[in-house]
Order: sequence, then structure tokens, then C-alpha cells
Amino acid sequence: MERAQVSRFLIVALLSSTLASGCALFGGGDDESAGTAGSSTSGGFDSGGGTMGGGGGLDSTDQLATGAAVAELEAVYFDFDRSLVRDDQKPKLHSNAQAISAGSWSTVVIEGHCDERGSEEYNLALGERRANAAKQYLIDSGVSASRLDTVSFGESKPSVQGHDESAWRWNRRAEFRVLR
Amino acid sequence: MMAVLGRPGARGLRASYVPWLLAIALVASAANAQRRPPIIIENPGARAYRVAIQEFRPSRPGSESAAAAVEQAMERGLAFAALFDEVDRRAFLGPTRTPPLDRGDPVVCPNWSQIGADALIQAEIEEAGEGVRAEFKLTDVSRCVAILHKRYRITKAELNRMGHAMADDVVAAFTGQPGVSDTEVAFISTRTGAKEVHVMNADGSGVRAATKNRSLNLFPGWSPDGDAIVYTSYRYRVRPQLFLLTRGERSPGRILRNLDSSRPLYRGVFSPTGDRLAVVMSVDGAAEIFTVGRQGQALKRLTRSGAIEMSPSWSPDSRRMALVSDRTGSPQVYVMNADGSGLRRLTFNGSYNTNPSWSPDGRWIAYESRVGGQFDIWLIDPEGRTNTPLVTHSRSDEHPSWAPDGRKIAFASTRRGRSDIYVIDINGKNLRRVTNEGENTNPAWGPYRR
Repeated sequence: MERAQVSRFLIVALLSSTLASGCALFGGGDDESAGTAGSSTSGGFDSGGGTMGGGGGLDSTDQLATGAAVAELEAVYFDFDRSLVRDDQKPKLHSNAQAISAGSWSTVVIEGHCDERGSEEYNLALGERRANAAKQYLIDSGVSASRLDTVSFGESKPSVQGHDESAWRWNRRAEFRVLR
Repeated sequence: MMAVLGRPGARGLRASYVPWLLAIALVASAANAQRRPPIIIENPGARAYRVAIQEFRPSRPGSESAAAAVEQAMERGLAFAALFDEVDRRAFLGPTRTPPLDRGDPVVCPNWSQIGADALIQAEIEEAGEGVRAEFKLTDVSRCVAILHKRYRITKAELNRMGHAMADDVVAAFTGQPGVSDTEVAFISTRTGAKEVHVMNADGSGVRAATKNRSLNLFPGWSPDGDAIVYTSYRYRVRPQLFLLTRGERSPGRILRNLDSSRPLYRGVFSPTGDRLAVVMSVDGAAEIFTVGRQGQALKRLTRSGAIEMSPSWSPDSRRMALVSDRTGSPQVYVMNADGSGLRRLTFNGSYNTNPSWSPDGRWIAYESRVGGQFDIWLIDPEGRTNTPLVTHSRSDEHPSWAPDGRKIAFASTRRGRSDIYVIDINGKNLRRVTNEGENTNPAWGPYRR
């Protein structure tokens, strides 16, 4: 009986030509070379080890640098899950607005950041709100909106490492970077 | 479609990109006589099945190491399923090694049922050139019928996959639903320095970096065919945009480039049909959910509250979506139709509920809820009638992602300090840590592989 079963085996060979046939997903080449960071190509992922492409090589530049930090522009800090500019932070923003108006930087990038708690995705949106709150304050203080740009890093660029409020309070912030 | 894609025009694929030549074939067995598996698990995890495993037979000299490797991989796959107890070989009354299967010797079933086995596993392995072939047989010894009899072929480099595929088929023979040891989990890890996309086997083996751009990469998500991973990266102008990885030599890179690149694209999630993506894009300073075709066409806005709307998770039938909105002042889980209509709030417990993940069978939405100062994974049904914690712990458990069998969930947890990926059965049993290096977050469990 079992011999009969064995003889019924059907071997379905999926030809390797199928593998090579490929499939257009989202179209072709990269345009990352236009960026300031990151590799210009990307490898695929595969079940064998070591098949990833990508830049790889070590270099010393900060891949997440949006501009240069300058002493004139101080970071401002926020309460947990809040994007309202705190009263105690307003003098710093006012001073930043004056420095930007007086400065010659072409663009000031406002980075929004969060502490590590909660959903990373939600923290991206919250960081954006913080950056926008700081931006609006600068605009209300007379800075031209065209010189301001925003980006949120959520919880991914903490300024202080740590897992309690002593670190978190410094990580819920908006920072300022300049392009000259 | 196969699991490996080349770029159009790519000249063939190197051998290492041709993973599993694979040919899996047919079942057979007494399947003709008995049309359904004899044992159906009503209550997963309630009972362990006892299996006797005869040593895998190398069908010719030189195949010994392959036979041992496949056998061990199958045993790891069975252990991952956490449904089986293996009978100690020293208790065997019958032979400890698989006899030549082509001789057709009948299994002496009483020898196996007498030692408490529910089933007997036998296999014969033959290494031939770059390939490995296997004949695999699972016998229900109480009824004395083969409930699985199958041949496998694979490249020598992927012996583990063969063993895992056998284990997953054994799970299917017992439960009607294949196991998930031969599936993959994508996640974000800092083990190479920056937050990079990594892919591993579901049991934590075979970790490899899928990005090495040293920028910031987040939220990997699978295409339903398992051939592509969409993810968020800051590698283009240090702004969040969506990128694609494919199995193969070179990936397309940034996608949806015809959308306004000044708008942050925080996340992309493939629809279950694979032809569209739900994307989280910022408009006027607030994240909103859109759908868009894979080529960036037919952009459609689904939410427009001005509050934060994000974390879309499709229902398996593509007709609905779970999402997070903070329109009431705190992030909560909602459900809406896939065209944006019929929005309804689902969670009311606590002030911070995020990261919904709709189960493959459609019956549950897993999400994370802030309880006290930390997060737990909860399950709620899409109508909001039942809401129950999956697992509670004094440290945070976040970002649930369902296995394709709907029986396990992967999540990120800081329960040993730094963040690791864990998997757990949905009955709260068989917690297992599957990462051990760096900070590991954003698990995304891939589909069944073909």
C-alpha cells in the first residue's frame, strides 16, 4: 500500500528561470545621490548571508546632520506628549528669533525630538508638532518663514542617553541647525 | 512569482541569490482515503502531541551531514511551534533510524503507540551536487496511516529551510494550519551602529542586515508576497521618505518619488492585495493617512482631522483599516473603511493606545496600551466587544506584529533592559526572545514563504 503511495509522488520543479524573470517594483534607479547622506544604491535582502548592498564603508560624517549647530541658537524643551511652547522656554525662542533675523544663515532647520517612551511613529508626528510650534513662534517673532525648515526625528536622536526623566526631559526638545 | 526578484535587465542571478530551487511537491499519503487531517487543535497549546522521530537516513554515503542538519532544523522548527513533545529514542521498540523508504516497509504501528507516540516521523536525505533531496513521512500511529508523505528539494546552502518546511508541514498535518518556522521577521536593529533594517528567521536564526546606509531607518513592512520590504529612511536629504528592498541583487530604493518630497513620509504599509500602500504623510504639520498605488499613482487622502492620524493596519480582506488618531487629545485606536469612511473609535481604556495590528484571521486587533508608566500588548476585537491583555509585564512591550498563522505575535520589549524582539503564542504561552544584540524594535512578521 505504501509503495503505491510513493509512486504517486509528483515532483513539481519550479524552474530557476522563474527566479531570474524579475518583476518591476516601483521602477528603477536610485536618486539618493542627490541627498546629503546615505548610499546611492541599495542591496536586496536575501536568505543567504552577506548579500546586502548599500554604502557600508565607514565615514566620519554624521548621516543625520541637517545643518551646523551654532552657539547662538539654543534648544527649547517640552512636556511629555505636549507640543505647546512652555512659558519658561519662550525667552530662548525670542532670543533665537533675534539671532536668526540678525544672522546671515540661508536656512535654519528646526529639529523636533521626543523622549523614548511610546510609539515611535507617534513620536515622529509629535516631534513634527514641536518643530512646528517652535517655527510658528519664530515667525510670530518676525522671522521669515522662507528661511525656516523643519524635520522630526521622533525618539531616534536623543541628546542624553538614559531611561528615566533625568534623560527624557532633555530629549523632548526642538533644536536648531543652520545652513550657511 | 518567485521569491527572488532581479531588477529588470539584471543579468541573471548569482547562485547565492537563488535560494531554494525548491520543489515541493505533493502530499499524498492516505490523503485520498481520508480527506481531512485526523486531529484538529481546538485549543492551541492545550495539549502537546507526542512524536517519535527516527533518525533521518542518509540515502547514500556522503549525505550524513546533510541528513543530520535537516533533522536538527526540523526539530528546531517543531520546538518553535511548541505543540510537540519528542519521545526519547531510548524508549523506541522499533528501529531508531529511518529504514529505506523506497522499500515500502510498513510501519509497525503498535510499536509506536505502545510507547505513547501519537505519530512517527521518518525521512531520507540525499545530497546530490549542489542540491539536497528529501523524502519525508509522517504516520499517525493510532490509525496507522501516513498523514503526510512528501518530497523536498533545496540547495545545500538552505538545509535549515528544508527542516523548517518539514516542521511547518507537520504542524499543518496536525492542526490544519502550517507552522511558521520557515517565515521571516524584519525589524530595526542598532547592532551595526545606526538603526538599520534587518531580517531574521522567525526563531531568531539567520540574522542579516538588509540596509547599511548608516542613516535612520524605521518601520519595515512586507509586501504580501514576501518579495519586498517597504521601510522609512532618512537617507534621502535627511528627511523621512519611503524605500523598498527586494529579494535580489539590487533594490529600487526610494519610492513614491512623484509625491511632494518636501512632505515627510513617515510610514508605508502594503495592502493585503499588494497593489496599494497605506502611507502616513504629513500635511500642514499633521500626519494623515493616504492610500496610493505602488507606482505613486491615484493618491487618495483618507483622514483629514488636522490631528495626528497614523499607524494604519489593513484588515485581511483589505476593506477596513485600524489606525491611531489623537483627535480627542490622546492617541487612541480607531477603525475605518479603507476609503476613509465610517471612522469609529475602538479603544477607551487609558490615555495612550497605539500601534494596532490586525490579525490574519480578521478576528483581533493587537495594540499597545500605556498602563501606569509602561506599555502592554492587548487584543481587542474589531467591534470592541472584547478587550484583553495578551501579556502584562512591569517593563514595556510594544509594537505587536502577527505571525501569518495567527497563532503567534512578535513584539519589542525592554523587559531585560534594552529592547529585544520576542515572540509569544496568543494564549500567552511560550514567550521566547529571538534577538540578543543591540537595540531591536519594529518587528514585522513576514508572510508564508513559497
